[in-house]
Amino acid sequence: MIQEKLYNLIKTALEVESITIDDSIDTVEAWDSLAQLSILVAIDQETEGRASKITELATALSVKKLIDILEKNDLISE
Amino acid sequence: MKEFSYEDVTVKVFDNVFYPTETSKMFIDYFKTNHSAFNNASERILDLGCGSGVVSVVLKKIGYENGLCASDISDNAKLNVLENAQINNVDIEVRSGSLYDPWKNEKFDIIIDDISGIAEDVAKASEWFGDSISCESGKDGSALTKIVLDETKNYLKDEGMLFFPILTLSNSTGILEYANSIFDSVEEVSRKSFYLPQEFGEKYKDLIVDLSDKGYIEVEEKFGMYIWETIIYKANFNKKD
Repeated sequence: MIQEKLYNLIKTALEVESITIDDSIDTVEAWDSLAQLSILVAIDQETEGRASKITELATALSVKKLIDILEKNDLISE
Repeated sequence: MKEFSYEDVTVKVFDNVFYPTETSKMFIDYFKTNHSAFNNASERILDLGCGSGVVSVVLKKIGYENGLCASDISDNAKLNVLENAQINNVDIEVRSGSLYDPWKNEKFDIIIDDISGIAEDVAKASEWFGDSISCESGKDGSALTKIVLDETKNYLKDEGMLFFPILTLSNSTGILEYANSIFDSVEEVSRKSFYLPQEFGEKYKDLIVDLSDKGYIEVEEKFGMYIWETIIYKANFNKKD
């Protein structure tokens, strides 16, 4: 998955117009625990079930943290 | 007494009345998105298992001109809906009684069934259902939904539509098969994922595994959490051919 795709998944899950690397559960009002799950489910579908095995994604509550974890697991590229 | 706000509408939730769930929000979201398709002043909508009446009240507030009828097994819920209708200045016909009992010999264009079941053992273990609210949906959580599906033909107009939820904290595959055996058409219209609280998952892991093995619930372990879904279906008796 490329980063642009991740941004689009997050925007769709949160139902927001734009998202940046600095956004997190603290900056986006719609980003609550259920929205987090929507983001994770979307990422999992995009990665064909590989993301669901990464437990630390559950507590990755920022765009940067999501990217870091996905990079570490070779599931995202620039 | 608690309050619940959604779509700029606030309703009161009396003690011993079921607090609105994400399923209610899913119904509201669906009918808001499809307002032009279902808004019809000459048609009647039944909100079955209405609780505080939040679905009916919000539908009226967002412009539904349909006649709105609502019922719940609880007399307290009936009073709750009446107060919420008055506060929000909307007109809702409210009755109390079990499932379809309050609506004998009446037919509706749209029935929104907000009565969903979850496996009894999960219901007992969780804090979702207070002591005064019954959740007698059987070992696999299908009993109440199946009764509603069975009886709907007596209350739905020929061209009418039933909207009903299935939670995968029940035997969702079995319920869907049952619905398909009754209706001519059953179509998924909305789906949302949820997770069991981490403490619940850890405390009741053996129960979750046991119920899953028996087919009483259908949860998935993802991201270190137990994930379940609510799926809203639209069903009718109109043959497609």
